[in-house]
Amino acid sequence: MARWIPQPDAVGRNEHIGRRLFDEPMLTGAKDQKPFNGLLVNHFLETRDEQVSVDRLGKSSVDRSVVRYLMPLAESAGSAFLSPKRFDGWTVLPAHRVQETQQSPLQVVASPETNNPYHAHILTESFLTAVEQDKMRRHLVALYLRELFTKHGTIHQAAEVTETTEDQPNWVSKFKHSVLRLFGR
Amino acid sequence: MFLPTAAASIAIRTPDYTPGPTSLSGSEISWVPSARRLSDSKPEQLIYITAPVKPQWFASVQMRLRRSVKPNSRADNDPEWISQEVADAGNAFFEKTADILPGEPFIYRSSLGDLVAEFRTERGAMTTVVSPGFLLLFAVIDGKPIERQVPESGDVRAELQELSSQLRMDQHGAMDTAA
Repeated sequence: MARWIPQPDAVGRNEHIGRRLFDEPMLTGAKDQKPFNGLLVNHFLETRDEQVSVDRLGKSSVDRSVVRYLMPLAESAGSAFLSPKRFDGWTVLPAHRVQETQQSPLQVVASPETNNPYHAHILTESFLTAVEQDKMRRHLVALYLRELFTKHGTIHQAAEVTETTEDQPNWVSKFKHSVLRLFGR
Repeated sequence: MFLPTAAASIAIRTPDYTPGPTSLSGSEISWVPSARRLSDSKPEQLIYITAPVKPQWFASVQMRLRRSVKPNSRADNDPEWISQEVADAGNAFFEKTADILPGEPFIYRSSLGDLVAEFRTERGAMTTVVSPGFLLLFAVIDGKPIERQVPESGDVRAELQELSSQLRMDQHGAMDTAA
């Protein structure tokens, strides 16, 4: 099946948008603490501007061919950080969960890039405008977005993508999983 | 029976005592009650103020913060280190509030350089962002997000008390410990 190509100017209500999750390093002196099972504020904190980048992963659900297209881009983005970060996958939810109405302070807008037609932004300029301190507002925006994705979203792990290959028929994949299960792997 | 008088008392001599040039007569001696003191080293107010008992995790968190202070050789935006100012703000926050926090925090550095502490309970979650300039409390209790922005001069304990007690409360409400 051909890969879904999104409209370049509008994001549909049911489109599934995903925020990339990169491995976040722990504080040097705090590596002895118990692991935290949850999304971190940093996953939603934009350091450059007010726009939070997301990927449009499918028209009404996560499209595997889109994910396969985006994987190398995401991995390459991870290696471009000052300290390279492993790409772990996406946290995904339907666009309407972010943008409940046209008047919503959070808007999801398409912003295709040359190499990534699936790129979009969550605009946050109109959100929490009463907060005077910019740094505090950015943290708050990230906290609210994390709450949205935690409450309504799912995790699409990068490992799931690498396990399946494009040309494999479904029955081959199922057989392979059964054999792996049988041998406890 | 012998009753001690002021004149008799002043006449008692001890080996290391040398009387002054003028001797005092009994009428010149007036009894002055000495100030009531409980300690030679601490003012009385401090003795009566009970310091809250710190939870077991407090020392570990202090240690983690201390060990994470950025040495001069590291870059400012290195995600594995925090600045001395942020560590100080974190220490001050835990010092003030450790006894009312809902449990041991998971700490990390936010991408903007501040300290983030995550707390989880069965009833919900709370995140605090500690910065030298502000404190942010964000709790999700029974699925409802609640935020508190605490300025530098704000009363952190008062703001935190309500959120924290709600997070620790079980589904049947607050437990009354009084008999």
